[in-house]
Amino acid sequence: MTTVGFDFGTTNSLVAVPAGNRMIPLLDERGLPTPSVVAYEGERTIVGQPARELLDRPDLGLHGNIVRSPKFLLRDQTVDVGGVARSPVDIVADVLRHVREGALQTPIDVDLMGLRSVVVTIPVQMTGEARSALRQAFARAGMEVKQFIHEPLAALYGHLRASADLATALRERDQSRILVADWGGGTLDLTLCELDRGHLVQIRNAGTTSVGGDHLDVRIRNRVLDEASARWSAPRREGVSRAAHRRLLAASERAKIKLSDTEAYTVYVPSFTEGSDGDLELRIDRAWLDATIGRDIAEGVRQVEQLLEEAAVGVPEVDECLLTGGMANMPSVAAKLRELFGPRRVAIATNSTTMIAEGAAWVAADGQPLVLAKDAQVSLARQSFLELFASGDVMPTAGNRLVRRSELFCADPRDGHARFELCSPTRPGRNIPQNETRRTLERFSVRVDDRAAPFRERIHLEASIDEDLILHATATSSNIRDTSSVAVHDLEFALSVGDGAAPPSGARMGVQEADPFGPGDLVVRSNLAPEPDDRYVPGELLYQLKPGYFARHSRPPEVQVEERLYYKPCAVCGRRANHDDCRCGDQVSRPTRRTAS
Amino acid sequence: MSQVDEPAPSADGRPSVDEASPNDPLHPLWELIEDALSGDKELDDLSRTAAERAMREGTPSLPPPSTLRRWAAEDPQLHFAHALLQRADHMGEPVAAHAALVRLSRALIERNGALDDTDRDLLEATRSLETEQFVEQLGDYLVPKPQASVPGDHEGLDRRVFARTLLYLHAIAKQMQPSELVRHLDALFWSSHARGSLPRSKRAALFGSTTDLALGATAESFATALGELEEERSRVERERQGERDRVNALEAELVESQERVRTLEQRVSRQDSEALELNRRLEEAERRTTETRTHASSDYESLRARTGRQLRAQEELLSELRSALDRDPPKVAIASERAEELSQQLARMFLELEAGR
Repeated sequence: MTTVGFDFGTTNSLVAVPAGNRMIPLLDERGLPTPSVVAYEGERTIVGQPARELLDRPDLGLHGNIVRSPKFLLRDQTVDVGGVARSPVDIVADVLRHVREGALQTPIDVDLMGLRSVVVTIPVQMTGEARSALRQAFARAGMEVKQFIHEPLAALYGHLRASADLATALRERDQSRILVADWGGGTLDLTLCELDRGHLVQIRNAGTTSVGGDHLDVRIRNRVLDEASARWSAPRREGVSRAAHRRLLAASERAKIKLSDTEAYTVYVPSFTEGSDGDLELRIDRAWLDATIGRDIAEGVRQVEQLLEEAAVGVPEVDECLLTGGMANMPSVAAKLRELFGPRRVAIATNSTTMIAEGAAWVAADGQPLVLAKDAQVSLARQSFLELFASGDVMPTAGNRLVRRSELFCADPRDGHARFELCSPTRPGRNIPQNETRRTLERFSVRVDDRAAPFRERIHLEASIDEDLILHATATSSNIRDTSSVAVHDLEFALSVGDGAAPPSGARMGVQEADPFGPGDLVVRSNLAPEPDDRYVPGELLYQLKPGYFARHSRPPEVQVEERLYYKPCAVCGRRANHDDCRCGDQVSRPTRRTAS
Repeated sequence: MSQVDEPAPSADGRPSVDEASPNDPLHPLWELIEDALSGDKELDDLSRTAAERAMREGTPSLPPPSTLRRWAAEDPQLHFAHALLQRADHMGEPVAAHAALVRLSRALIERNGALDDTDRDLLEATRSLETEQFVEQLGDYLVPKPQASVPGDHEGLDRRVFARTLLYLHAIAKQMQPSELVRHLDALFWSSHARGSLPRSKRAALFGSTTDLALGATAESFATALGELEEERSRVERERQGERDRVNALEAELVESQERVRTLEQRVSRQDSEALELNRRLEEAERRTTETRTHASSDYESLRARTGRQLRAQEELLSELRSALDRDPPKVAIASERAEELSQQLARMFLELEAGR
């Protein structure tokens, strides 16, 4: 079965299929991708370019009975489209079905084997629920999602795959950081990636919908209209038809491109309004254009700088900037990025409108698996962590599931709950030190017997990652038989592009001595232990059960001694433990660690 | 048997008279026996003639003629048996000869009650412990003891003589079972009616002749059987040789066939690999053709779509140009700008088409 790449983009959608050493994008009759727009007119469903032509605004989402970029609606159960409640899955399925039928009817002599299996590109921010809904939509459109791949990774892999020798390209770029700027008609998506020993890892993502190419066109159109109509009478200004607006929008886009290689250009729309001299005519130059959209482009570049700043990566540390998307064809955009990175580090994709779909198709053809970028862990007592899924674990494809089971013990059941915190290191790779910052993925608890002794109650934890890349964790206590579940939708992934090389080591980037959780974080002290070991039990509780444990000759851990003494008033002055005025217990050091909140 | 010179056996295993040494004490008997075996004379006459010849020639080691005559008159079988046993002796069966001599000597003792020198010598010669033991074993085997021990029992004596004969025959046959021969010859020559209807002398003669005939017949039978066996063996050998030749030929043919098969296999293998290679190349060519067709059609569609887009844009420019010219007054600047843009686009299109992009 031929698995094709399916770019269900914000602005446009496209199918690409491999044919030998080339990738064939299945464009529509205009030679362009299909707009991701659907309109509902009564019983009629209009999809693609006809629906796009009905739109006169660049914004994403709902426009009356027209839906642009319906994938962003997948978070909702139902949406109101022109007064009709519709399922987002059905709306998406309408677009997907149209794209599929268009691909199957392509005049290009290529065998798609019915176009049943696809590798689908998704935005980095797309959650697990949305992925699951998207899978359903594809199923309704007659396609099975074999694998999801994030759009910037697909674009980058497509860019690398276009090299004469992939292995050489990968070797030359090993240990390098690459910024993928997907500047399309609707959005600007930025992803800082790192290629580390055959793994394309996303380090940080950012994006905006305010500087998309369509916005720029509309901004030019509106200014042209404003300036041109300043001399017009009021009736004339109000008598502009929607068709005239569309013609002006096309003229504005042409002017935007034309001003890339000429100093001045006349925007001319004949018969823009009714009347003998209803032409729209406005002479604009490059300065005018810069004044109109320069801020938007600068905003896009600022987004790039902000992303790098947040990732603590300097501009010189970026080895390559790959510019793709429709705006890559705009010289001023490329010029701005070249100003930032220098001309040699900016690569502009020649196939910028098709690169993501082609990258996904290459991923399908080469069988490159999606892997987990960062460890998924559960925090245990004493600031230790149990690894549920490791960085580099291959993610399941359609119909598969990755399962891990663990047996844990409740080290402190006094409050009747075993507390779970699923977390992940902030850096990708393995061998992340225990004391490095963690990002909390989810928290949940399961009831336990509060009268039981520590370690008496066992907790069975089953964690799995499904085909939609959602992590499910279910904990069951052995005595109480309570069960609690949680789902994590925002795991981070990488693309394995090497030949089975070991996942990157997180230690390469340097170890920061820090608390695993940042200041101000809500911290849940875990009361779980991987094995019955008294060192996991809080000192005050252990003292009640085993006073002999704290005998001086037993050399109990200092932290447990401190915990025991914290809740014990001073035996001499009666003040609470560690009271500032108490000088009686100088032999006992003051606790310096944060205690349970 | 030290006092007896043993004549060399003839080709048929029977010593002839001429071959018998003159010193042989039984030399006259040989002639007598030869005559008896030829059947020309009565045994009594022969015995007498032999005795007379022995007396005339004065052979000192022979029994006196009176003894011989008496022997011949009383019991020619003894002489005959003696002669037969001598033959066995000459045939290289000393044990059988000794046994016969022992029996003969005992018979003489029993009949005459006294021994002359020769008899005594003969008796002495058979008194070795080894000889006695062997004869006892043979006698026990061939002759029932009650009969053998009865003095004057001629039939028992006959049977003993017959036993010796059987020993002789056995010596010839080597591989035959004595019991089989005993049963056969006893049934044939010593049935009750034969014993009752023939006088003793005749019976003795008959015995001699029949025994000899039996010997001859047996020998002939043996010879015939041997010949047949030999012939069979030769035939089998020939067949075996033929089969071996055939097998060799077949083996050679097999080797040749195997070689041919190997060659064929190699050729088939070569052709298989060639076919595989051809198949692979065909599939590769098909795949390449499909890819090329796909690439070509993709390029064509891409070119068609791009050209269409460019033509649409040019049409739009032309439309704007015409509109600008249609205005009153004509908007020459815009028309000129559009014309220039149109010209640039056309030039770019031509360049792209010429470059094959």
